[in-house]
Amino acid sequence: MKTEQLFIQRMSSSWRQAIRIISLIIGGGGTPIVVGAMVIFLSIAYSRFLLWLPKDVPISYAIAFLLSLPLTFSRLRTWIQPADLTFLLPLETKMKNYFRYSFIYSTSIHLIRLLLVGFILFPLYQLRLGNTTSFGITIILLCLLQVWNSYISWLEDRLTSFQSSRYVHTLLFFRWLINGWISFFLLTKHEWISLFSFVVPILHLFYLRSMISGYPYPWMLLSERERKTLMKYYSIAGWFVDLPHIRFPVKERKWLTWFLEKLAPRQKAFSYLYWRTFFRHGDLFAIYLRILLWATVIILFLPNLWIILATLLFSIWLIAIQLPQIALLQRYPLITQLYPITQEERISCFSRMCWLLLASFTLMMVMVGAMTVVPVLYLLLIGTAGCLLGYFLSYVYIPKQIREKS
Amino acid sequence: MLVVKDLTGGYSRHQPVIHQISLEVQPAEIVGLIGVNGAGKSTTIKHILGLLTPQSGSVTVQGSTLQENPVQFRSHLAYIPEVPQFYEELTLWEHLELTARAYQIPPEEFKQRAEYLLDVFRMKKVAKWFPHTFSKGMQQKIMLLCAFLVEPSLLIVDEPFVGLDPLAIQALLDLLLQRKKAGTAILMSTHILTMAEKYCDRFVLLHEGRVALYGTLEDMRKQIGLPNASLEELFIQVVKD
Repeated sequence: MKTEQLFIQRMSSSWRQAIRIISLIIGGGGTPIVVGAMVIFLSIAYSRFLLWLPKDVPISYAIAFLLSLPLTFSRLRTWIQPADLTFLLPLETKMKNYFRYSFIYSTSIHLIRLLLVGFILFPLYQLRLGNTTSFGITIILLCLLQVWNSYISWLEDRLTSFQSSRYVHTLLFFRWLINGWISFFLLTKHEWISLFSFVVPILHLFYLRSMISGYPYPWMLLSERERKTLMKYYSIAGWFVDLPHIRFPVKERKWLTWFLEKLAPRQKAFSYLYWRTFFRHGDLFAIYLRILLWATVIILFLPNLWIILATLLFSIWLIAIQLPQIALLQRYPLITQLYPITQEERISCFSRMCWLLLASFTLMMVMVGAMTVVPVLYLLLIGTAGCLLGYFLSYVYIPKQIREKS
Repeated sequence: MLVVKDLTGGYSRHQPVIHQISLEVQPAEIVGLIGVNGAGKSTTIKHILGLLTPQSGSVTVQGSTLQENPVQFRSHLAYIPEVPQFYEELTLWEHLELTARAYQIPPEEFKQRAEYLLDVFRMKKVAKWFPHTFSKGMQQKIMLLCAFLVEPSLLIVDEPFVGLDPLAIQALLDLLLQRKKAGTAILMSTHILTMAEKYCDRFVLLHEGRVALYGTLEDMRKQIGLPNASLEELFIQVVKD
């Protein structure tokens, strides 16, 4: 069996599925407009940030740090599945080509990612550090460093078979230091120090290669990582389209449930269930926080009355459309339907939760707005508009949606 | 307690799975619901629970139907499903806490019952764990714990022994007897006929969606004309016909 063909087959089928989901997202209404608007907002906010940036801010350190992150986190995408531990294990000696293709594919993706980060950071670089030519040369050298990182990351994965995780994490930290060091000297045009520093990665590569000879492939690690990668992609896609067949991982978030217990010790059964599901199910709570963060950035950098109002209402809408999935009975076990509780009480518990989430979001946004130059009276009006929309969504729109879907 | 009268139903109106099923379960009684795979046991249970709507016939619990008073109807019964079903986002303890809140069990009573049950099923150590980390047997124990926590007037149990270790099976049987003594009506579907013969007071033997034999072991022997037959022999006799 030619294992490289298996890799190509898996990679193509994964891309086909990704394209299907992307088409669904594009065809699913206003998403492209929303994304376009977000890009415009963020680019305006970025240009304002560049204008505001004080001269004594050490840009070279900041860019070196930002570049070192994608360089360091360069894991290989292998598409190894749990069943491979049974079916591909006998082919272990023939898997070299499979992983070689995986390395080529993953490195290409890492290079694209690096170029994208470079493209975003270029205006910041141009502001103080140099021109297009010097940035181009820096990026070419960083691309070489990226290839090295992808390969070393693979070797580090292989070390996990016999080395402690602390040892592997130390290697990762060392690699991050090398990346930061070289990026910094490349950005500050210390060419000779940077070129001389490239000796360290080469020596490190030989050292690791000598270590891993005879090590088996880390099947369990790769399979688990593939599962997590898929979950990550699905959770991003879940922002825009329904993926009811996907089971997202549960995040315990002990401190939140502890807080909940203290705040509302005598919650009704369905409030108890819905709040815990909101905090722990997949990415719902993370989405809430991300929307909060984005809205904060936009309000702080574009402190205009109408932009704040639009951002608040749009964010409330974005949160509200994610929430009904918590209340659908189909996602819970059968026993939920046997509880001696009416549907009206279930919906009322859910509406209350939505209202609390949207009202506290509005309150936080008004507080962020208070840090800008927008007059307080206007902020109070914006807050009232947010509360009204939140109330309408929680007590009219969402209950209607739930009744229809139930 | 539970009265099922002339129940006909299934998953589609054109193709009923069960026909004219009638049975009763009285307080302090265990009734065994037995039959081969596909005989209609689970469909009967789903109709009793109100998860399927019957084409004809009625199900009453404590004299009221689901349509008349859904909250009262449901507050009387607890169900142990064959396949463990749990909330991914809740720990074992939270499953119990949710059940207690759903059935409005006072907090002090809840703690007392929950700790006793966790102890009986040796689950204390994993009370704060999420069920997806459990073995199948442990997941089944969540179902048992939640159902016994309620201390219902009517307990419906579907193949309760699957996946349980011998100690858990014994604990379950002891609890069933304890509940029976306390007055709970229990309808238990099972394939383990020796266990059913030993623990059930009466039986409903379903075959091809109809009641083939009904009553005590003695009644069923008379119905089929085999005076010394065991439950297993009666079962085989019915099924092979």
